[in-house]
Parts: sequence; C-alpha cells; structure tokens
Amino acid sequence: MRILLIDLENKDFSYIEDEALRPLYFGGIGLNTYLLFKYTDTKIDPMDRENNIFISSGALAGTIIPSASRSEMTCLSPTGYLGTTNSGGSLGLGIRLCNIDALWIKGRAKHPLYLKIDEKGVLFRDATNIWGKDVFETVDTLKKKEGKDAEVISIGMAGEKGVRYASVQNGYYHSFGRTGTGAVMGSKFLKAVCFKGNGEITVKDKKGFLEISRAIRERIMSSDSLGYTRRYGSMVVSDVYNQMGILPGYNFTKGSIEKWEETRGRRFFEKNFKERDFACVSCPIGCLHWSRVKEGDYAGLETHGLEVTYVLEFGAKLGISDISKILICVELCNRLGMDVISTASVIAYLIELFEKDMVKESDIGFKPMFSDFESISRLIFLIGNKEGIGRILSEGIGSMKKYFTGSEDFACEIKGLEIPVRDPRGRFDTWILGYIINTRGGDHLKIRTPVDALLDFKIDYEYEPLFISEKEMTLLDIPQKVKDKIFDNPPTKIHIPHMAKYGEELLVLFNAFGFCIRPPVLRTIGPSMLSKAFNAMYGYDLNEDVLLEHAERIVNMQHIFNLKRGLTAKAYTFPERFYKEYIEYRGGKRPPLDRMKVKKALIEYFKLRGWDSKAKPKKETLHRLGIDKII
Amino acid sequence: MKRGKKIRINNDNCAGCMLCVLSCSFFNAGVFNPEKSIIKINKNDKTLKFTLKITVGCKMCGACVEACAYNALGWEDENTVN
Repeated sequence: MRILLIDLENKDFSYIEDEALRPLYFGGIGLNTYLLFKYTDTKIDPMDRENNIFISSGALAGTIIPSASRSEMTCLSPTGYLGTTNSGGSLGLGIRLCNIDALWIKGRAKHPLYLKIDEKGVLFRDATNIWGKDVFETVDTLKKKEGKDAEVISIGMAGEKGVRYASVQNGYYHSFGRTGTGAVMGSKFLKAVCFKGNGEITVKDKKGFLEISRAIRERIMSSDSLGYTRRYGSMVVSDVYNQMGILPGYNFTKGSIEKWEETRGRRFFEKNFKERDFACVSCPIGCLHWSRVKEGDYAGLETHGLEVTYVLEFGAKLGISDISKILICVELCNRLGMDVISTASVIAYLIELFEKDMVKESDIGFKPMFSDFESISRLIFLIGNKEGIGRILSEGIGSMKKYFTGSEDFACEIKGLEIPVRDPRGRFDTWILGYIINTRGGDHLKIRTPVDALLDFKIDYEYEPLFISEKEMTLLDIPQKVKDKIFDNPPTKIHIPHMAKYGEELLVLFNAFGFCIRPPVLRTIGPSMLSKAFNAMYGYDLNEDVLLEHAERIVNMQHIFNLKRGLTAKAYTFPERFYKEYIEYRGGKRPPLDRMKVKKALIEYFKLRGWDSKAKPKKETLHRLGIDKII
Repeated sequence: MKRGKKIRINNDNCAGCMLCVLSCSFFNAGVFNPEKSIIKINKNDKTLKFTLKITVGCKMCGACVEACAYNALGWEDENTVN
C-alpha cells in the first residue's frame, strides 16, 4: 500500500510503501484503524498537535465495481474516543488518481494552509485568504484556482473554531459528518485538501475483475429494493418511521407526528421538491436527489436533498414542518461545516433545557422553540461561529450535560456522540443494539443487518423478525456457518447479538472496500463477492472466512483504542429517558426499554466478541486475532 | 440491447456516476483514468449537471453504453443492425 505522509509543521511529505498491510487491512476504515491504533498516542487531547488524521479510499474505489466509491477519515475524536466518518461522491477516485491508497496528516501548520495533491506529491499553499470563508466559498475559490475537476475537501467556520462536531465537507454536498473530524482539521490550521491527480488505477486480473464487476452489478440491479431506493433514496423510510412511531420527535418524546406524511413524507417530497436523481461515482443505483423549492419564502432554492436524515433530524427531532426550511438548515450546516445530526440534537437538548427552566431566555438572548425555524436557524449560526450560547452548544451534549445537573436523563448521547434518527423504544433490534455497541458512539451507520425490514414491531430483545422475499433470500451473500448462527431453520427470525457481531464486521468490510450500504448493495453483496473482487484487483487469494477474521481484528483494535482512552462497559447504555419514559405514538404509548433485557443482549454480544462482562477482550481473543503481537 | 452504428447521448438522464468513463478507460487503456477515456464527462459539482461527449478515437466498442444504468447512453434505434 502507498500512504502519503504529510508533515504540516515542516511542510514536508514522504511515501510509506507497505504491501503487507493490504491483505490485512484493505483500505478505508481497516487501514485507518491500523494506523490510528499503531501511531496515535492515546494519552493526548484530541486537539493536540500530535493527533493524526488518516484518510483512506476504499480498496475498490475508482474502478467499475458498482457502488464502491467511498472513503473514510479517522482520528482521535473530540468525543474522546474513536473518530471515524465515511463519505462518497467522487473523492475515492480523486485519492486513487494521486497514486496513493491513503493520506496520513500529522503535526500542526504554523498558519492556515491548504494542500494540493497530485501523483507527483504535495504543494503546501497559503490559505489565509480563505480562512474564515464558508465551505461553498472555499470550494468555489479552490476550484477556480486549482481546476474545476479538483476534488476538494474542506472545513467551514465550525471546524476553524473547534466546534466539537464540525464536519469535513467533501465538495459542496457530501460530508464526513460524524465525530468532529473537522474540528481536528481546524486545530491543525488545515483549511482544505485538493486532489488533482492523473495517475492510473491498475488491476491484476482484468478478466476476473470484469466478471466479478458484472456479477456484483447483476445482483445489485436484481434486488427488490432497487426501484424504491432510486425513486425515493433514503426518504423511502420517512412514512414508515411515522407509522411505526419511531421518529425522534421533539428530542425523543413523540414517536409519531401529526400530518407527517402530508408535510414530510416521501410522496410529498417527490411531488413537490424532487427534480432529478444523481449518483456517487461508479454507482448504478442513483439514490441521491436534486431538489428545487417552487414556492414560499425560499422559492428558487436548488440543492442536494432530501435525505431522510435531514427530515428526521430537523423535521422530527426539531419539529420543522416545512421542507424548504429543513433544506435551509442543512445548507447552513453544510456551509458552516457541521454534522447535521449532532447539530440538531444539541439544539433539541437546549430547547428541552429551556422548557424545563434549566436555561433562561436571558442566557440565550431569545426563546428557542421546537418547530420554530427562526430560533433554530439562529442557533445553527451561533454554534457554527461559536458566538453567544453557541460557545456552550459547540461542546456537544456529552460535555454540556456536566454543566446542567438533572438533565442527564434527556441528554441523548452515547459515548459522547449524539443519537440519530430512530427512537430505540419502537423495536429492539440489530440497529438499536448497534447504537450502544458502536465503536464511535451513538450512531446507526456501523452495525446493520443485510435483512433489515421494519414490518413487525413486536418487541423481543433476543430475536427480530425476518421479512425478505424468497428471491432476496437466495441473493444473500452470507457464509452458511454464519447463517446457521443468525437464523433459525427454516429462517424466520434473526438472533440480534449474533447479527450485531456479523453486521459490524460486514460493515467494516463494506467500508474498507469502499462500498455504500444502501439496501440493494447490503442485501446482495457479502464476504464472498467482496473477496472475489479484492482478489481480482490485487492478486490475492483470500476467502470469506479470512475477510471476516480480519474484520473482527479491526473491530477489536477500535475497541481497544477506546479502552485505552478510558472507555468502560458503563458507557454501553442508553440515556435514562429510554429506560424510564413511555413514548407516545399514533398507536398509543410504548413502554420504556427493559434495562435487564438490554443488558442481557449486550452481555451476549460481549461474549460472542470474546470479551468479558466488563467489555475487556480476553487474552485468548487477543492471541487468536494476533492483536497481542501488535500491542 | 441491440448494437447500433451510433451512440445516443441524453444528458438529461446522466446521473454523473462516471461508469461510462471508467469503463471506456478500462476497455481501451486497461487502467482506470478518466484522461484515458474517449468519452468525457463535464461535471458541474455545484449544480450537479453533467454533459457527456464522445471524442475522437471511439471504436464503438459499446463499453460505455453497457455501463450506463440511467439511459443517458444508448444505441440510436434507426441505425440498429443485427
């Protein structure tokens, strides 16, 4: 593998070549985990100059393997634990055309810089004139200077000023959203990185590569989920969330919202806003949309969206009913460079603090209210610029709750990361167990089941129901011995802790290879197809068992990194709201989570991982995975 | 899809996935590099509008047409041959 090592302090660069890493860590989160684990001091402050940023393209990015264009950015997060975040667009191709697999950025520049990278090396350019500019202005300026085809990642004011959930924006609309990598980039005085290489991406076995590429495409295009994924994108689940009562409404106090479908539903969005579809590089699905606001105060606004995350965060968690105003909130976040999930969560937490009289109007300067675009948009602006109340809000809920005694119950974060999109009380399943086991904190994007379906809401803490067609069942690419553990026979249900372990490893592989996790991909591609594509590209002979073992090692390394940072098993829990309060939804009220049953599922997961009940990996686990040698 | 004599471009349908560009480069140069592709894409990353253009040297191999999942590329019907 070829890793470009950039020393910001000395404006110097070099290349590390190590092919032995490739069949073990592949790329993306796999390679980043190894580099973080091996080279980042766990005793430092996340904003210390010694923190590193690693950016790796997925192993198959930049090729014709469908839907495998993504890249990962990793560092010690301002949450205090693993910081890692994924993004699509055309960046994976842009990195690979510089004839590198990854970047390792170390040190701190003496003044604001941006980097121009191509296949020949790195230019360190002065960024004084764009420091203080928003992301759109920055990308405009750098594309004008470095060429319109340059791939630009950059931070906005939020990253510059150290908002702890600042994003790194990929182009104008894609984001490395979660875990505050933008704040770390800002702490290094690094405003942007431009990729403009003209290198060549090569393949060992061209015939085999073409064959596996066609086979993967055929599977993706055969999925029952393809049609609706292109038509609605992630918005496909918007109506279902309301019907099932799992919206994160008003800081997780209402699972359903009146007139949701009529104002924020998928068909309403399609009819009134959606203009056309577009895609990340190499993706035949095209789940992304371009939208136009046709009437009202913001008529004429055209932008990327709507993603369901935007509507669940600003539409449900904060209660904004007008899609055009939701789009404005997202554009503000994109321009300032802030994660939409954490931003919406922090504002929802503040509004509840205000409603409970724990924060006064005089502390803020105005009344913050749910459903009120004016106060919410003002708060976004204040956070991004770290002005007024924004200074406290920029710390994130994990830090804020220490100042507001008595607010812990409704401080909706896990391991310092704000909880997104879905109320855990609707159904306990792989997704929800994933919130507490995720190595980057409260998040829904690192543990998934390939057979996810929200059609039955019977609550069972051990099994979730299985609802996929016979055709999709035959397309599933899960090793038989894994299937035997996860499903009953014949398959009717899913063992949640087993699926959580497998789903976590599967997503490590998806990420390391560059794949997206949209349903047509997640349901049809697995370790067998991944190994064939990787072998054809790089000339290895890895099988699915080896891939899963490597993924297991990578998960353990992330976990050990967190343990070294002081994480304990106590952090593997939901905020008290979810254990104490009923949740209202259109079907009535659902009871809180059963603490003992959640714990039982968690302990079962620890056991499957080879960890003790305190989440500490056993000696034999470390030895089996060879981690004892790396430590 | 029946092979024709001329490739039809419909830019309104282009989703910007570059599968045509990457396929052309792979089939004709054996590597992935947009500069080595005969079909070019002009991308406006801000408005997300895309324009495809087939440049000199196209051997009509059809790799780009096969790669397109959005009906932005196809064979002209009137020139279809068996």
